[in-house]
Amino acid sequence: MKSRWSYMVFVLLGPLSVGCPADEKPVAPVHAPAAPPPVRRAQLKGLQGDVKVKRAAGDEWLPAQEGMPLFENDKVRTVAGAGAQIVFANGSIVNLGDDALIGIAETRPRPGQERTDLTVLRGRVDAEMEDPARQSLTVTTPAATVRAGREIVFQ
Amino acid sequence: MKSSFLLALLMLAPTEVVVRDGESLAEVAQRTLGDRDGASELKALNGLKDNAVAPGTKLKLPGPDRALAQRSLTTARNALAQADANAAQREEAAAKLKEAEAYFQSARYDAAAQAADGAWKLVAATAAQPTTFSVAVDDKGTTTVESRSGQPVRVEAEGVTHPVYAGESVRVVKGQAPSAPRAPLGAPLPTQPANKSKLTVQPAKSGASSVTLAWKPVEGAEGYEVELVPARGEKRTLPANTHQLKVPLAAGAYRWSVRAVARESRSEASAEQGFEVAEAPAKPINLQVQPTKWQ
Repeated sequence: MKSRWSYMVFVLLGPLSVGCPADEKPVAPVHAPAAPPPVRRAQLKGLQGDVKVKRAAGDEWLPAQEGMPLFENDKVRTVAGAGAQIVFANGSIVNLGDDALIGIAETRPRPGQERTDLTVLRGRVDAEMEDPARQSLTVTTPAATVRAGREIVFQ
Repeated sequence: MKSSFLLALLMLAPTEVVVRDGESLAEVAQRTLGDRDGASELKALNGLKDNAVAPGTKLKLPGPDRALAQRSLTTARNALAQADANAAQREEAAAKLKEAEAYFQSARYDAAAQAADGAWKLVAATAAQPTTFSVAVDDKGTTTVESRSGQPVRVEAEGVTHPVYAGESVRVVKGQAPSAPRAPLGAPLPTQPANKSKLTVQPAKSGASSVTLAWKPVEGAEGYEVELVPARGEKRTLPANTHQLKVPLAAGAYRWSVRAVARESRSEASAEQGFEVAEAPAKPINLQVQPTKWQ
């Protein structure tokens, strides 16, 4: 069975690698899958003062609400005197200080665990991982990348 | 279903390699795995009895599980290297890691990953304290990372990575490698005036009398910042070169705190103190008029 599949793959894909002569019928292209729906990465809590959220697909800054879900590529902004708590799905907590701008970055799945990524463009965040043996957090800034928790690989 | 199967096959790395003329097994390993030590894996994977391979021999190559095992091994090695030498279960973890390395050499990648994870868990369990750290980014993108507790965090920039252990901080200027980690400045301890004290000052001719605020010096501090908040009026931030500051103050109630500063860091603010300033009543003027003969 396996060898039959391999033979079929060879026959089907062989022409792709060397190109098709004009008189041959081209092999139907393999369509890329449709974009997956946005993945819920975190939740906004402990809102203080003026906190706004910009969705990945939107251009407008919306007033944040307690318990609001955050998705990949969403942005959160606080003004002077404001603050918020971002609770990630894996339990990592990031406290966002005032006058800050952060983005929820895309998450690359790892076998057996989740990996959270956060981009801090301005301001200060205080991160806390209750169980660093199982949690991880990667914070990127314009100058550096900060990695903490389980998925640390130092090569 | 079929298309995804085909795509998956396309993404696969080569599964076989043909030995070239005059090529040793170590050289094949270097060429295919990027590591001469991988010869033992190729040997195990292909059931070879020795390192001699004839040119033209087809050798089976490791699958993607090798990269996963490598990752687990690296994580475990790092965790063990960072673990306290006296940490409980360190020896057990080291033995487990050795076992994982042996599995890897014999191309038993799943077993290697499992054993490496086991080793990692043993040492990671000793660091069960929550990991806390802060990241601050200024308008120029300069980043300051402070590791507060738990496992060290890794700060990477421009290809340079520094582990930052609890109590240390690192500053990264955009486009530059991270500075060497340094211990954070401690918060100053206010000594004068005593908290909630009431100070009586002599009215000065200029209108405001001076009050001396003092605190214990902090090692490594290059200066201090005093935050003074009057009950009525706006907060003021005052720089100080030494561990005390003379401030002209009008009568009223005040709160204040102080933090140590250095080129790359600022300490936490001290505990807030309060005091009141009252002007001493003016001394009665004892005027005596001498009788005069003037008429």
